[in-house]
Amino acid sequence: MANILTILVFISLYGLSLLGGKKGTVYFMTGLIFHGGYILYRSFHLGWLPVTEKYDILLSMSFCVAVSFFYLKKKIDLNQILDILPLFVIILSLFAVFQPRMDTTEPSMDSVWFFVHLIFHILGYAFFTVSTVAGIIYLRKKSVVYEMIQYRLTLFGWLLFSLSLIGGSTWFFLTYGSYWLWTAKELWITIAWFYYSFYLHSRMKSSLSGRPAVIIGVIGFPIIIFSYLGVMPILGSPWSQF
Amino acid sequence: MLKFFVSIKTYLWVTGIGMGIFLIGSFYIPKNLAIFSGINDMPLIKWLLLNNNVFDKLLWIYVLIAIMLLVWVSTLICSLDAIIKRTTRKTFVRILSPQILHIGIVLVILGHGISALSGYKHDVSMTAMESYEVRGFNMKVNNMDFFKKPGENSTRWRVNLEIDNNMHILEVGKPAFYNNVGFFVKSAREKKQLAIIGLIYDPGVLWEIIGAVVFVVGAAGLFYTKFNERLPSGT
Repeated sequence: MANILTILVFISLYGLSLLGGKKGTVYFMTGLIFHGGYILYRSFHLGWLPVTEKYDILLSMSFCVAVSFFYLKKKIDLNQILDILPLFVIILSLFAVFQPRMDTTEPSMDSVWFFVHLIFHILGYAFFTVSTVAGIIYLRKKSVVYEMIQYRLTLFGWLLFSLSLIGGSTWFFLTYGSYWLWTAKELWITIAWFYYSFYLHSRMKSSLSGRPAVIIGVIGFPIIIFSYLGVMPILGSPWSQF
Repeated sequence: MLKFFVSIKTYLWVTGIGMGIFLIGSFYIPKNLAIFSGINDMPLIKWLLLNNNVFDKLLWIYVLIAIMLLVWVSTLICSLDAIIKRTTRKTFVRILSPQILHIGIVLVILGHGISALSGYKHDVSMTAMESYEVRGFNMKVNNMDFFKKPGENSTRWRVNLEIDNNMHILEVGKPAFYNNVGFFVKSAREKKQLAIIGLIYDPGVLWEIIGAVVFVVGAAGLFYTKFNERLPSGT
């Protein structure tokens, strides 16, 4: 219960930051401190890096998205950021609230490759989320800089996501003897990977560059969320703790 | 013909169709588990040939293979074209990095292709002190230990396996490799002193590793060039 309350405290602070301006920034920063503090608490409580279950992964992901504030405020008007960025931090944190807490690991998770997989997975998804924020700001403001920020963040996200897949395949092969399986989960991960590759290339085509490519990039967000959280309950893929 | 393969339009169409087929498969597989139950237990092509009686239900996989082949050829030709025609001393890192990354992807897809065409997977159930001959390997389980680590909700195992008179210790995530074959303990039961040993020969893995290394080199170059590129002003 205390865990959920703590999450609700920083979610509320992020919510209040939507007011914008200096007050909004103060609320956002306070939320960020609470958020970071809670992740640190989880690390000490568990005794290992808190990336072994969906609950912690989503909180780390939303924290990385929140930290991008420091990068974005150098490039984008503060009120534009506070209009959208906290919403995505709240969405990811709320997804965490609905995940069961396990507080245990499996012997198979005791591998460097497992942690490589999950750390890059968190970073990749965080980059994709922030790129979505930049894309939405472009659709509202039409400045070419926002489009370039979206592209660059997506590219970095895609590279990190690819590294996560390399780590994950290596871990899975060493543990189970296969590096890829024909399951709905794997097929959706492949869809997500190809989708962002599609976006990165679509930008080079004159008929798609600008607004159409930005929209393609923004649509990537629901795809990655579904590939991570939707496949198991909706399509009936085998259950996974992380 | 070359123009067709190096065109971005071709790549977008082919990946677009590919994603559509992956999407169909993601809905189709969970609803038809009876058909797809053995798909992960052997090379894909062997499994497709064995299940030729339900060809109509597997047609999407054949189309997907054709699409992946097109992605493979398109990526390879496009990268070679860029390396030959557009690389100069000044643009070396900027042009070459994404192409190295593309070559990495080409090698990874090649690895998938080789895995789909060849190799084998064989599971054998063995008890302690039991000997077995499988696929030309003489195996004997000398002993097995079971223990728990704090924070973990499952029991770990450590199996002492003799393969052709060579001793190997197999643990979770720590298989043994002998004569290009991987020996994995897939599961083990303490009460019955029983271990399921999986023998896996997958020649595609080597290409996957080479592809992954090449990809990481290309990714590092791309990170470097994009990180140092300045954004235009105009916010």
